[in-house]
Amino acid sequence: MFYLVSGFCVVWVCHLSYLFIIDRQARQLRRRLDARMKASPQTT
Amino acid sequence: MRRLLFSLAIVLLVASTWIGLTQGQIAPLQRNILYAHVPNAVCALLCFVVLLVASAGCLVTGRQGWDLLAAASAEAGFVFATLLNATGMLFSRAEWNVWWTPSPRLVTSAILWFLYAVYLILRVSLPGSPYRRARICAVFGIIAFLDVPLVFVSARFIPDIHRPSFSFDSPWQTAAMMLGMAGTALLAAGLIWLRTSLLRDSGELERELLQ
Repeated sequence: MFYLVSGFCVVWVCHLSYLFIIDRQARQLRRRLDARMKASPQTT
Repeated sequence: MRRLLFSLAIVLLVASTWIGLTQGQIAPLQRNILYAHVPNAVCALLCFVVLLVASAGCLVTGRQGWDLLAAASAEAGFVFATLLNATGMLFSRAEWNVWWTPSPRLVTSAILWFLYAVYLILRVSLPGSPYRRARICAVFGIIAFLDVPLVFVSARFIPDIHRPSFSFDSPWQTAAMMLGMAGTALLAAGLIWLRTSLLRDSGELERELLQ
């Protein structure tokens, strides 16, 4: 039982944490790009 | 669209886990790790196929998009290969009372993990222009793919403690495994898509800042 629960926990934690990490990076990058677009609207 | 993809993937994975652990239990209990182990193994191999195609595309066309796709698939593949080996070790400990044993399937799977790790290290440590780095990584990606057929055939042709395949007793078990496969494949596709666009946008921002 211990190994079964550990296996599923490892998989779920890794999948979700990797998903949240790159989703957060994408949001931060999007914010930086939007800020640059607002700062220099002539480049659009 | 991406949000929908990830939501669907998570729903499928939850359904797979739920069905697997309630209706489709495999006896003895520890063998149910297969519902987490097999989909991650398949996706680790599929990510390597994407890496191979993207590397070949990068070498043939020289376009940066292929290089970014290769990088994204290597990263996602590394996560799946890590989970493949981690769940495999837990299964091995529960089933055979050892964490790891030098059987052909286990050795080739460990090599798969190291190849992903070396590819990612190469990407961040190679000096020179991005074009040169992309070409060297593409060549490495193509050569490293040779391990994938070895992982696949190792347990089929060489006597191994690892089973070459697994047959299910009930349709619930098959359903749980198929849902797990579909969910993990969707998750892999979404992760590769998100990571590719992230790499492209950050590259554009870097170029803008340099100008």
